[in-house]
Amino acid sequence: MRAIPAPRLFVAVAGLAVAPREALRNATEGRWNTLRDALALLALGSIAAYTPDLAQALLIGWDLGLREGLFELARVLQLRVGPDLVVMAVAGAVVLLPARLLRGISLDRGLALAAACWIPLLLTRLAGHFIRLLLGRPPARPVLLPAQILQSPDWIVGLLWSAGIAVLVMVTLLGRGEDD
Amino acid sequence: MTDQLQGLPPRARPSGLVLLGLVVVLLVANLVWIFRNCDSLRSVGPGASAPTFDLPTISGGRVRLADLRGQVVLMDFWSVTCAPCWKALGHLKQIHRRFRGRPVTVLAIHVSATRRASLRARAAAAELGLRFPVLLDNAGISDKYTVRVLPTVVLIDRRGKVRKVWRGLTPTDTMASEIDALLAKK
Repeated sequence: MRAIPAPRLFVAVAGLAVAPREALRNATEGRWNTLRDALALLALGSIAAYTPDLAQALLIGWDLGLREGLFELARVLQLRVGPDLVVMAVAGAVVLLPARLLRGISLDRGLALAAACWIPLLLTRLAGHFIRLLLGRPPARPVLLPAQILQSPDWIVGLLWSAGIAVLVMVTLLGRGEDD
Repeated sequence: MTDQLQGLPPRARPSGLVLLGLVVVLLVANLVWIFRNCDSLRSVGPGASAPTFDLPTISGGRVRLADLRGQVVLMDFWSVTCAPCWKALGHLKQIHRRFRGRPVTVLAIHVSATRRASLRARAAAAELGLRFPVLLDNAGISDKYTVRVLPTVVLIDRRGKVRKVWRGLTPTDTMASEIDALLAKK
């Protein structure tokens, strides 16, 4: 029986969940462009999870004018995607700095490894949206304050998982015999 | 670029399919939801039924929109941090004075309901000498009215239908003439 083809993006991302060491090896050795895939996952996940918000921005633009519609779109992006980007930037810095200081790896490679640490957070956020959908609940309120993160199970699980991957990245880097 | 899937175990492929399925199901479910709830996403405008609310006031009471049926309601969404809102409240104060004794209710709804915002709204109301209810939006009512600009003033007729939405500062006479027109209708 032929295997059902799955887009490489999704297989690579899922690979981080089912075989993190192998996936990280691909990222470390430059075979997997994790930054590109993390951003693609963020974009796809946002479109899938926040479709009603995006549709509302479109309708506001239709009802109130283009300026109001663009303003609403910027508001949606700021509220919905902004917190993810902030956490990703912080997580990126946490991984990138020691990786560059300890192993002297290039910026490109460091960003790729940092992106690998972002992916678990994106996956748990997606899973959180899916569970809320199954439970028939409205979308989660945007996380605006660090304190609110502690009230969001998907954020807590995602951050812990991301931290685990970050530790694995550091272990992988320190365990490598040769520098970048 | 060499193979990004190199070394991954065979179970990565079905996991990837599950992930893809999750994204597709989310998207489809949201599109279905939009199709069924398109009206709730549209901006509240003239002719629409005014979304109901039951909100606390800064003085500890509550105001339910449903209790105001039969009256013309003028609602101002504002914030203490918005300078034009203070001027708009002055306009509302004039409207409130002008229509005293007639079936007109003026409400000011502060868009934030945190403890700090509540204290600041109370101080502002005292400073401006407001004699109409000042409500705290602790239920996302401003979202239901698609308030995107402050101040936003909404005029509701006696049957609970939105008649006018003014975004930004609006002259007192403009609002007063609309209220007069609504009061003249039986």
